[in-house]
Amino acid sequence: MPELMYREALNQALAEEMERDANVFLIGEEVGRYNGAFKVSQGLLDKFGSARIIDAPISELGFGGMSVGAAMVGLRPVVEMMTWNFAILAMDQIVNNAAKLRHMSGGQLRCPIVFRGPGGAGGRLSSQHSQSLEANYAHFPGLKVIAPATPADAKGMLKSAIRDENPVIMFEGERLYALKGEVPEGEHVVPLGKADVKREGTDVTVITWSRMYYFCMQAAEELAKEGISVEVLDLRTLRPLDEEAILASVRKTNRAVIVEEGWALAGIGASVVDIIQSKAFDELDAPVERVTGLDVNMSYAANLENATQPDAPKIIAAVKKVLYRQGA
Amino acid sequence: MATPIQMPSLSPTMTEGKIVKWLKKVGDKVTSGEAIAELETDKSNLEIEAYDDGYLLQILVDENQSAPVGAPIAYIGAQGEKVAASGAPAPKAAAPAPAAPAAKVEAPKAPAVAPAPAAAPASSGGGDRIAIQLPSLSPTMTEGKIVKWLKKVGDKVSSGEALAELETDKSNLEIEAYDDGTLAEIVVGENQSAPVGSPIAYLTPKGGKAAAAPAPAAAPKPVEAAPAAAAPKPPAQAAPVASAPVASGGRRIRASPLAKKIAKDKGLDIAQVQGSGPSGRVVKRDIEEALARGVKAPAPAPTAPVTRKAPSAATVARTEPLSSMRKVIAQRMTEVKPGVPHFYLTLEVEMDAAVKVREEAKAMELKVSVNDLIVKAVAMAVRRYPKINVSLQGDQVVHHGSVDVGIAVALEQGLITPVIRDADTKGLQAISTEVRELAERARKRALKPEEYTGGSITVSNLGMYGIDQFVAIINPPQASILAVGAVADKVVARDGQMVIRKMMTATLSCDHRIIDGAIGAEFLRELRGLLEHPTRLLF
Repeated sequence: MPELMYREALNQALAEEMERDANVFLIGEEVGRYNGAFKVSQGLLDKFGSARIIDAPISELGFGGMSVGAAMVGLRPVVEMMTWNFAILAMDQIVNNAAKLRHMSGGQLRCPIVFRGPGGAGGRLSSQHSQSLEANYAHFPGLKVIAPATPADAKGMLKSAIRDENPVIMFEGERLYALKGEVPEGEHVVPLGKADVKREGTDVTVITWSRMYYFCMQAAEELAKEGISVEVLDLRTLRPLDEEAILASVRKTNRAVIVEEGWALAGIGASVVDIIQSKAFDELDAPVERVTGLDVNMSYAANLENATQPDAPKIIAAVKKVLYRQGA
Repeated sequence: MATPIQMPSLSPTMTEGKIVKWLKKVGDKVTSGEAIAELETDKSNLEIEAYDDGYLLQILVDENQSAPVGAPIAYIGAQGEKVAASGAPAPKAAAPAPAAPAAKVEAPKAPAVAPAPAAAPASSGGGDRIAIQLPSLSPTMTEGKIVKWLKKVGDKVSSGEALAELETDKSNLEIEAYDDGTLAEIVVGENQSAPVGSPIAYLTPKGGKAAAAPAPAAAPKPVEAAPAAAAPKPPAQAAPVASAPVASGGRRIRASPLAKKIAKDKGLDIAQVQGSGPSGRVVKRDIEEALARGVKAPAPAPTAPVTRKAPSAATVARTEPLSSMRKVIAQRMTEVKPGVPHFYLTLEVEMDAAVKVREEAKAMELKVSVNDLIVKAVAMAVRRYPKINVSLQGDQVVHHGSVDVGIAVALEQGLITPVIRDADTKGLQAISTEVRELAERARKRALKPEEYTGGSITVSNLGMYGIDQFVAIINPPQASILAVGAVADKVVARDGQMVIRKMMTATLSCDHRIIDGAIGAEFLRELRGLLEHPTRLLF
C-alpha cells in the first residue's frame, strides 16, 4: 500500500470524486493558481480547469453562501476554508442555511456540501489562529462533523462526505497535512459515524480524534512498557457520535480517558462522558477522566503553547489515575 | 469580657506547673505587670504577672495544685463581671485573636506556646464560631490525619453527627460534632495531618452569625500537642473518645459501580472488602482479590495493591510515605529498645497436656486454640506472681490491680495489641471468643482506644509461622512480654529414656528497671507448670 501524506490523501479523494461526479467542484481562497494554502489542491486546477477549481476572494460568508446556493440546486460543492478560525465569518451560512434548508423546506431542498479546512493549533499562531472549533459545529442538528486523524481516514472520509446528501464539516489539521501513512488506492470509502479501534487494549479506553490521536498512541506505547494495556478509540466522526463503539470499549475496559485538543467546557468530551455515565454506569470502575486544552487563549510563545495542549505525559497521568496507580 | 490567664511555658521541658501561692484573691484589682501568683516549675519558682488591667474574677487552680501548660488558671475581667459558665468557662482561645496568654513572666522569654484551648470544642463565646479540635484518641496519638470530610462547608450539622473520618496511629475513627450548627470553615483538608488539639474546622452555632470568620492567621494552630486530656475540668473533654463511633456499621460504603455490580453478581458482601481506591473506594481489583482469597477468611497476607497484570511493575522500586501507624511504631520502637533495659529468659514447655485440652474441647465442638490456653495460663501466672504485674511511672512503680493480657495482632500496616481484660477470671471459651473478636476488629482498624491501651503483659505468638524461638520488644507501660514459638514434636529425655514430646519455647522479655531475673524466672516456671498441668488452671 502506498504511503501518502495526509494532504496527498485528501488530494487523491478530491480528484477521484471530481472524476466520478461532474457536479463536484472545489471553491476557496488560493485553491487554484496557488495550489492551496496547504497544497491540498495541488495540480487540480490544471486537471479540472477554473470552472471546477474556483479561486474565491477573501470573503468566507460570500463564497460560503454561494456554495450553499449551488448545493440547493444540485451541485456538490467542496468549500475549502483556509482555517476554521476564518470560517467563523461564514457561521451564518453554515448554521442558519446549510444545516436547516432541508428542515425549513419540508424536505424539498437538500444541501450536499462539504466545508473543510484545518482546525487546532498550527504552531505559534497565537490565540486567533489556533482554535479547535469542532465542538461548536457538533452542536447543531443538520450538520455532520468529522475529524480524521490518519491519511487513510482522511481520504476515505472525504469521499464519504462528498457523497453524503447533507452538509458535512471536516476538520483537518495544519500539523496533520505532512504526516504520512498507508492509504489504499482507488475506491477507499470510510463510512461517517463509525469510530475505529486503532489499538486494542484491556485496561483502559482512551477516546480521541484528530491530532490528539498521535499523543494517545505515544502514551499507549509508554504505558505498555509498564504493563498497562491501552485501547485507543479514534472517534473520527464527532456528529453523530458512535455510541455503540464507545460503550463496547468501555464495557470491555471499565475505564475511560477522553483526550481533546479543545477546551473542556461544553467540549465533545463532555458529551462522551455523558454517554458513558448514562449508559455504562455499572461498568465503570473509576470516574471518567478528561485531558483537554487549558482554559485559556492560546499563547504565541512556544513553551506556553505546548503547556496549553494535551500531550503524552498528561495522558499517561490521567490513565494512571483511572487505574488507581501511583504516580498519577 | 473575661480573659483567661493561662499556665505559661517557662522552660522547654516544662509540661505543667504548680501554683505555690496566689498573691491576689478573687475580687482584687490587678494591673498589668503586677505579680498575681507564685509558680513552681520543674526548674525553678517564678512569679506570674498579669497582662491586663482588671479584676481577678475567678481562680481555677488552687494553691499547691498543678495545671498543664496552656490551661487556664484564672480569669481577669471588669469589676463584677460574671465568667461565662461557672466551673470551667470556655476559654477564649479560639476567638478571633487569641494573642498572647493573658499572663507574662519576667524570667527567660519562654518559647511562646500557642494558647492551647482547653480540650474539645472551645466555644469562642459571643456566638461567633466554635472550633472543632483534633481529639486525642489514644495515649500515643500526637497527630491525626483527616481521611475524608463527611460534611462540606455550608452543611448543617447536628450534635452527634459524624463530621470527618480520622486516621490515627491505631485505627480509623469518626469525629463527631457536639453542637448544632453549620460547618463554616474547614482548616485541615483531606489527607492532611494536624496535631492533637489544633482546630480542624469551625462551626457556626445555630442562630449564630453566618460567617464571622476570624482572621485566618488567628486560628490557633498549636505546634505542640495541646495537653488536652490533662486540663482541669475541661467542659466536654471525655466526649471525643467516648462518643466517636467505630467507622463501621451504617457507614456508607464507597465502591465503584463496577465493583458493586461484580460483588452483587458473585454474592459477595462488599462491606467485607477493604477498598484501595481514593477514600477507601472499593474498586474492581479489590473485589477480584477478595474473591481470589475467599472473603470470609482473614487476610493471610497483606493485599499488595497495583500489581495486577503488571508483573514487571512489581519489581520496580518505589517509595511511599509512612502510614500514621507505622510512624508511631517506628518512633516507639526506637525509643523503647535503647530506653528500656531488656533481659531475656527462655525455657521449654512440654505441651502434650495442653494440646490434649484443645483436642478435648474440639471433641465438644468448642473452639479453643493453644494460644487461648497460653493467654489463660499467662493470666493465672501473673495473678500468682503479681510482682510481674507492674509499670514504671516516673519514679514510682504502679502495681496493677487487675490482670489484663495483651495479644499482638499483625496488621497490614503494622501491629496492634488488643487487651483481654481480667483474663485470669475468664474461662477459656470466653477468652477464645474475645481474642477472635478483637483480632478481627483490629484487622479492620475498628478497635476503640480503650481496647488496646494499658495491660499487664503481652503475648506475642509466631508459632503459626513455624518460628521456634524469638525475643520480643516490651510494649510500655507494660514491663514484660512473652514471645511464644511453635509447638513441635521433639526428642527429649524422660526418666533416662528418649521420648517424643510436643515442645514449645517461651521467652520472657523483662524491664530490668523494675523486674529482676528471679522474679521473671519464678513467673516463667509457674507458667510452665500451668501449661504442663492445665488442670491447675481450674484452681
